[in-house]
Amino acid sequence: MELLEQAQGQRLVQDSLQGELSRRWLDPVLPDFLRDVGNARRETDIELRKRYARLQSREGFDIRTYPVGWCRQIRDGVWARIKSSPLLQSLTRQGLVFRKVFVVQRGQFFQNALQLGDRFLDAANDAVDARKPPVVCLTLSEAGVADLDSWPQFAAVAQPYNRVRLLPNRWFPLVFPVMPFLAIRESGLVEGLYQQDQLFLLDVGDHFRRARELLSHSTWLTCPIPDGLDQELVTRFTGPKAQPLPIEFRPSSRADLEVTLNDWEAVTQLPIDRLRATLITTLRLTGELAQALRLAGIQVTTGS
Amino acid sequence: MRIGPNPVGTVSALIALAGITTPLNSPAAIVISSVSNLEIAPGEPTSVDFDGNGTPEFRFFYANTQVIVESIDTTSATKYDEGDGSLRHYPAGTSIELSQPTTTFTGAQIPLASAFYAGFQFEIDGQTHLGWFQLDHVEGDLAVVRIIDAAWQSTAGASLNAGAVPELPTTPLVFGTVAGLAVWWLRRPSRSGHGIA
Repeated sequence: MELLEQAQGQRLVQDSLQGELSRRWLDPVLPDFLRDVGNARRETDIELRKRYARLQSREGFDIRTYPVGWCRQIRDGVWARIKSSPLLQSLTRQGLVFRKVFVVQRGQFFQNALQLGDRFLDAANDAVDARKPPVVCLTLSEAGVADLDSWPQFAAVAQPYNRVRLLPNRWFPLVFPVMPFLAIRESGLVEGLYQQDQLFLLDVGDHFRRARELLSHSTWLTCPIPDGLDQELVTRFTGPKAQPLPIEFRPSSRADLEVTLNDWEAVTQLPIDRLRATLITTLRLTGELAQALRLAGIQVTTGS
Repeated sequence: MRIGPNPVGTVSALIALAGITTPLNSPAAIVISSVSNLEIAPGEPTSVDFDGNGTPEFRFFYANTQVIVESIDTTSATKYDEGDGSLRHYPAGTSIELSQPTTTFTGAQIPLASAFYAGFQFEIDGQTHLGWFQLDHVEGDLAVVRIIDAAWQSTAGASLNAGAVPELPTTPLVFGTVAGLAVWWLRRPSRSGHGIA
């Protein structure tokens, strides 16, 4: 059941125990395990190519470029195929962790990958450069991976890696702690940048420390807004002919955003079931907002 | 997509909405279906097994901006709108009841950038259970629709609200730890095509 897998979290487990367990139990069977992973990857390739063959191009999502840009789908496909293999199960019974992880690699890339023991398993190593080997397995230290832990860290990777220019989300204050950036693609298309929810979920438990840090970041709110974008957003999303959105459009100042963050503190006082329902609703509406913005097709002149 | 004339603008409104769409004290257990982000490609009938027992209940077919939902067996059925005979759209939080009319063959127009909840019923051990599924376009301009998620009521005959998800066990929440967060973070909207590799 996917729900249980997701509940395991996407953070790395880095301790000496995993190293010891890996040397004792994984190393002797590593060739066999990698053979299983290779087979799972080939099966995944066949399934994904067949399943998405009819889809037409969308920015960054095109079966014709497969495997480039398909790391999450490939990772998930490999995961689904190997998670119940007897070899893997025997390893996890010995205490090796096996989980999906979403990490930053060498400070430059986001990676959807797998962790087994103290190994970083990239089952979609060719998802950026198709000439690379499809599967690589390194120790965590060799791989140079780190958990995503701050919004500036996210922005520093997202901007060059996704080839977008980031803008502060000061138009949809309610989802600021979930989606603090809007993005302008190279084509000039404006989108809500909602790629992961790790930081928001962690922040709920940390009194929105990360969002507050971003708000106080000296350059974040002062970065230049492309000419006409403010007015275009107001035209699209206010007035009698406003395009409907799931989240209120409300141009906001830093002070407004601080007020919203203070309001968010209230969720930490909710009973756990109510909190969970609120977070689920938040994530769902943020996804819907990002989609609605994308579909709105708002364009700016790139470079402005 | 829960887009309407009154977008959510405050945290308190968000909490209130979550209380509506996610009942907190339902006496019966709701089970999230393993069917999630299932894409229905144009022209390709897709069988769907909502309760995961190995026997699909429905067959979905997408063509010409319309999704057809057909029961595979005679005990499964979708809720339909008596006005025009199409698949009934349930606003989030609306109760799906046993008494509402059903049919074994319904269709639904899927306008761009919209999503909606539909109701269905099926049998387990000869008893009727109710459920909902949510349909949407994938990425809006792709020629495919998607069953975003689905859930069903484990208590035979009991109603459930469109979009309702199960309650958590009363596990103490440990703030500041991913493990604590992960326990109650059970559902994550799937997104694709964001260029992360």
